[in-house]
Amino acid sequence: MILIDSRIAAASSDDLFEGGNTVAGWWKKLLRIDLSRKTITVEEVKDVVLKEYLGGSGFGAMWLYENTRPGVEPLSPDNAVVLAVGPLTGSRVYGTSRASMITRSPLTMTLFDSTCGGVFPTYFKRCGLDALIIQGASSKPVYIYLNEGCGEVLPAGDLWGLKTKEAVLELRKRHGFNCSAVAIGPAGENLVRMASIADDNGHAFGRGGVGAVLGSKKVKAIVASGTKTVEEAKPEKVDEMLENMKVRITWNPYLWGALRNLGTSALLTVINDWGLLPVMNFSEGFSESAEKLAGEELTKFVVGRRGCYNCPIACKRVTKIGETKGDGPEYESIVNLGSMLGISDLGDVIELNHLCNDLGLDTISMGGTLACLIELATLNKVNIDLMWGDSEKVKALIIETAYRRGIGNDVAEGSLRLARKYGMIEASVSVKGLEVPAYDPRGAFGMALSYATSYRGACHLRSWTISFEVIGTPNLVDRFSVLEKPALVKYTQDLAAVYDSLLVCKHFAVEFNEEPLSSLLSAVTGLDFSKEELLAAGERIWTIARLFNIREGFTGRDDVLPPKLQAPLTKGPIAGRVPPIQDMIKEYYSVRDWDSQGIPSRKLLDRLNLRCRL
Amino acid sequence: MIAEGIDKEVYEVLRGYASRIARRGYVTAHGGNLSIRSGNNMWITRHACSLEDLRVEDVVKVPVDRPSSRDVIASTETPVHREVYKRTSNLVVMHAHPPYTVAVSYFVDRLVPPDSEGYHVLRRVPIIEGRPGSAALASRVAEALRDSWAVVVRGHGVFASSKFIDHTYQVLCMVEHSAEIFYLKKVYEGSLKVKPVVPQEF
Repeated sequence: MILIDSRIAAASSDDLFEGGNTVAGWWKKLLRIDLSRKTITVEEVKDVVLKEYLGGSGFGAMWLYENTRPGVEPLSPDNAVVLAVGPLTGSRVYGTSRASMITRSPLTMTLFDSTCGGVFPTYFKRCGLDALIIQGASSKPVYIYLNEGCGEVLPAGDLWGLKTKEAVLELRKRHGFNCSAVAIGPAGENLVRMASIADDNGHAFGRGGVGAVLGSKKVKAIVASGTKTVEEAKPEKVDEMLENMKVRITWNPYLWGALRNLGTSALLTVINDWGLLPVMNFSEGFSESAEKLAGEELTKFVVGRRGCYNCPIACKRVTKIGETKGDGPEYESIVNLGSMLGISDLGDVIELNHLCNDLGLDTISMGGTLACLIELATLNKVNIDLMWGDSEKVKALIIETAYRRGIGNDVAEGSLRLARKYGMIEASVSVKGLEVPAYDPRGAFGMALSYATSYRGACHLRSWTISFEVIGTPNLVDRFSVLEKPALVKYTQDLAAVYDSLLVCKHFAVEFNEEPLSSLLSAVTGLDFSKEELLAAGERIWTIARLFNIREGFTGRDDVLPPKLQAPLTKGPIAGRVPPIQDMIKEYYSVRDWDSQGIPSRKLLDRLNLRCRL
Repeated sequence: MIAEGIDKEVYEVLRGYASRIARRGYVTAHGGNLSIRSGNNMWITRHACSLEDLRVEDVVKVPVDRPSSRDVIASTETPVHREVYKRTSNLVVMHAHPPYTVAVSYFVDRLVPPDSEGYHVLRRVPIIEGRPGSAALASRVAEALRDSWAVVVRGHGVFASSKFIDHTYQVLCMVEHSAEIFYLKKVYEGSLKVKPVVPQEF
């Protein structure tokens, strides 16, 4: 531990960073920063932890469960943030430049992991670290600077108040352009419960208010500029697998056709065709004007394409509206800032998306909460003049939210708290306080179960059954069937936990299941991982996240769909459909070996080697 | 999503021929695809659907002249259908994996039908190579179909195409029938160890 007055704290102990018994893929090292005590320490991560939790979200879930006290307030110094990469990050394996940020969410109060792509994760991994842990809180604004052999906490008084992109660009000027950074914006500084953390290219740790947690610790940004080479244990095997990956990626019509040609916005037309498009706070599932928001329309605004580091697909779109250039919007943002708010002008949606990114706001929760507010306003539950489709007022509200001004102070709390305050809780379309993303689960029953049972609330990334129920990759499953969904959701959740712990882009899950992943992991690390072991790791990670939530008072009663999604639509392709959520949850608990209250059985905990962690 | 009017009629026609192709055993549970062109659009069966029992939402309408966002669920072979429509004046494309044709494709570079009906209609069926759904395959198939009613992709299946759906179906069936005759003829030649008698008037 080293304290240096001119900085705020720094660690530069070469023997700790450089030494030790590493395994290819993992450095077996984490950096722990306690901002209250102004200390930085380097710690070794045990082999068994890496084998059982893999890295990323898995490692973070385990660490938080074991190292935070029950009842920890998300925005208090007692909460911790884990930033972790995976064993494949920084290797040559495609789609692996990703990092996960794990903490207790101020929006959902659950365990929360939010992942981000770009180049930042690779620079972070090249610092020689698997994880960074931030505890305590600083009294003044700071940022964290990392490179190989050095971790520093530096003053950020001059950065406080800057928007995300401004802060990141300033830091890259300061530290040279051979680095990357992620920063909070005004929303994170003002503890907005849906604040994100973003880089300068539109990649973000988006959901769950992780930006507010950094804001509560007065951490403006994290800069990484590592250059260490990530070793591969069997490079010739990796070569062979990369060839195979190339073939499969270019063959897959979703990855190489839709994503490469149009980005994620390619989904919108089909989702609308099938009646799954959230319109005006889920009051409809189909919009006649959806074509105006579709991928083809977006190409009129596109001025470039971008990908994460070492990704051949490059699904991101750079758009320009007026004189302003920015990244995205992605499909989810188009829906939640477009059809969800009754806005059908894509130019307006692009502008709102850029605004959210700059202010450091999660576009999904922002849109979901504004949709809730508009519904409250149109029903005279809240005294403001606001109608569907008024993009100018929406723009003003986004700014008010980021700075917690006027009604924006209520919006900053998220839709659940907002709706509760104004006496109409059903206006919040959320699960565990997390706003439902851009697929109406009344048209895809797997998504209904997925939303209801996700440990972090309504999330499409923890089990994207749309790939089975709509896209048909890797298989096509009847979207209204019930029988297969509990097992499908469990499988996809466990696989998603593996993806978020190895840190592989989820888009790849439409083509690569646990089998190629286990081969890739074995080739990079040199350790033998069977596909069964990998899925068991996913189940273990999912279960420890469940245990964290149970510790914080969550029960089976929280595994529900919001009232609005349990009532049928009266028109459109899915009129009259309602997912039989209770039946599916009952079967899901059984498939998971949880009791009727959703508590994991002792037998399961033994099987997953989790009893010792209770 | 198929709604009313012509969309519904197209669906019913496609459903009928899809079912016939499946009943003949030319596709496995979720294999094969077919499309009909009208103007600058085509209706094509979706990726991973079952031709045995085509549902309304298994038919997707996409433009011919460019990729579209609906391609995300359209058949993997959509680029091939699109290229055929761009380079020919055909209005129907059918793709199936009939077993005799696929088997024969491993042994010859073109299929010359040994039966008289097949020979008079098809003359010869080129056999090409290519990865399913790839741009290279799309180009080779489209080029072959400029001069032929059908083309075989080695180890994969048949693309048949013409202006009329029933004619296209007839061609598809004829290719498989000729391949079966070809196979049986070779088997008998081998097992009976006698030269076949060639018909004097073919």
